[in-house]
Amino acid sequence: MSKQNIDQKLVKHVAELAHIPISDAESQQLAKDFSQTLSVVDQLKSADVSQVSTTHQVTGLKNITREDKVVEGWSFTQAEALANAPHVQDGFFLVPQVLNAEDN
Amino acid sequence: MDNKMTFNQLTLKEALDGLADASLTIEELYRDLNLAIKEKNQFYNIYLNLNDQAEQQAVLAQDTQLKGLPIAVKDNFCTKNLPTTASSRILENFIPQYESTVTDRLQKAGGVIVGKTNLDAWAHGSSTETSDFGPTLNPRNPQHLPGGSSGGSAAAVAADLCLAAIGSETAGSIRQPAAWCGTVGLKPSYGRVSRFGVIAMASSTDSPGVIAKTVEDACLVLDTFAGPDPRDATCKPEVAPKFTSFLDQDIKGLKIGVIYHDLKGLEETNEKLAQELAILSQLGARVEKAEALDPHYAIGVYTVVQRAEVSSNLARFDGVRYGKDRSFFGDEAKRRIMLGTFTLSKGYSEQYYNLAQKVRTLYLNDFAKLFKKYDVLVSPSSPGFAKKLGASASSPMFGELEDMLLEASSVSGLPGINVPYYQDPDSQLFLGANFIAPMWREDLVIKVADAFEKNSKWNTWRNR
Repeated sequence: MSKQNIDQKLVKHVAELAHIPISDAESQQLAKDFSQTLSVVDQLKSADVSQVSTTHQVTGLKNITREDKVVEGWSFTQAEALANAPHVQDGFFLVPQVLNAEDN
Repeated sequence: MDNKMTFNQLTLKEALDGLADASLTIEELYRDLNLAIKEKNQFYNIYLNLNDQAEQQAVLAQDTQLKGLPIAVKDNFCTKNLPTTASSRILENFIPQYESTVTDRLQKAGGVIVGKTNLDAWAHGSSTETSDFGPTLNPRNPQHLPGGSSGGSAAAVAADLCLAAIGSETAGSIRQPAAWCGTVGLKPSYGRVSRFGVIAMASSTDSPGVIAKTVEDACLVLDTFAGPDPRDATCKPEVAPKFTSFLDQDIKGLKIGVIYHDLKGLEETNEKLAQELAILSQLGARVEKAEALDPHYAIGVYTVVQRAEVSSNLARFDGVRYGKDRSFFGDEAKRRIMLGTFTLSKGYSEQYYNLAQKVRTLYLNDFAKLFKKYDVLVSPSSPGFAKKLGASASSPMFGELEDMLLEASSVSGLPGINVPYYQDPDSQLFLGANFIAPMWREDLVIKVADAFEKNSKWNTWRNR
């Protein structure tokens, strides 16, 4: 497998996907950091994994459910749910606008 | 006890006994504790927030299991009405509206939260240097780092600013700071302790646990909160054992494998460990060298899995329901979220994420094979002594490299415990041993660690 080439363009694309605002200088540094980290990760490619499947969890537990009923004290009141919100109006969270007039 | 000793320097067990036979009052203990906090907290930067109700709560808890004794809690556990920041600017003003299962059960058992301790922001690191609120200094030697991410909790124990502390570990974050600060650090099996109310980092390995002065103290605290929780579906549904029942046991005939004994760069730590392990042979255990899968691969496994899970878990911080917006993430958080987003993205997930999860299987298989032959495995917890302040800036992989000896057991979910085994007479810094056992076999690590500690001279509190 070829070595991954990380450039600023790729970093900016990932930043957009992750909703992280970054400056030009940051994207340059991050490209360097990514390359350094991935070169260490690339050691994995020398491991023989031809005989194994992936492990996503280690407990061996399956289909753990609880009864579908409301437990007193496990739910927030409206006031509790809104207590830490930076912008609230009429009992609702205020969110940034995502649709513009031309989208209609 | 010498005359200069103050009550905050007691072990948890000694304080419990003292309160029980009335040779100590809770007021006396808090008087000494509050003085010590006033004297040391600002300098070492251990507590981000103190609970100003602690002493009143303690006085009311005299008929309980933990009798109101002061416990430090890492600041990534949600505590109702006490600020919880995860050492991040984003959550600087966050006041949880609910209590984590761990702190809820701890308090019901009479443990009092004395304050919330510093960590690497979001628990991303192994130095406590990447906290958005400044580094914590190592109480053994303030030129050095306390390790991390539970560095504030380990430092709180080492500086006697609590009698025990709660930490959380994803890959080394309890055991490595415990090693660097010369304390005990107990990481239970993944799923033994509820993660409900812990600010999530890597959900498939996050494990709450205890940092304490002795193995016995760690068990006394773990007994109060381990066990099933309907609010964390990854918790083992069976009731947890009483961990204190594994203390003072005979270890005769137990087979102990020494792993990572021939790694380059670890000659000194391994040689000193081999000398100390003679204690276990003298107690009748069979100690021999064992061959484990190269731990270097675990760095890659952990790096990929952790970043991937971080990118998903930290997506919730959108500045709408709580906290500030995403422009407030520090450099380390940005790096991790973005790298995780990258390794999970189309075209790269097979090359990185799936490959890492396959190598993870290799470790599970390797441990399964080793535990057919050995009851317990041991190695140093860290390649060496605590690094100097500033060291974490040396590499974007600083934590992964420092935690290399712990990562394989973490991604495999195994229980582990750090016990100090050497103190350098000049620097005052410690080395620690990491004992691990199969999943759900905390009994084995506790038995061996307790016997090792009680028969060595490296516990500061027991041997003062």
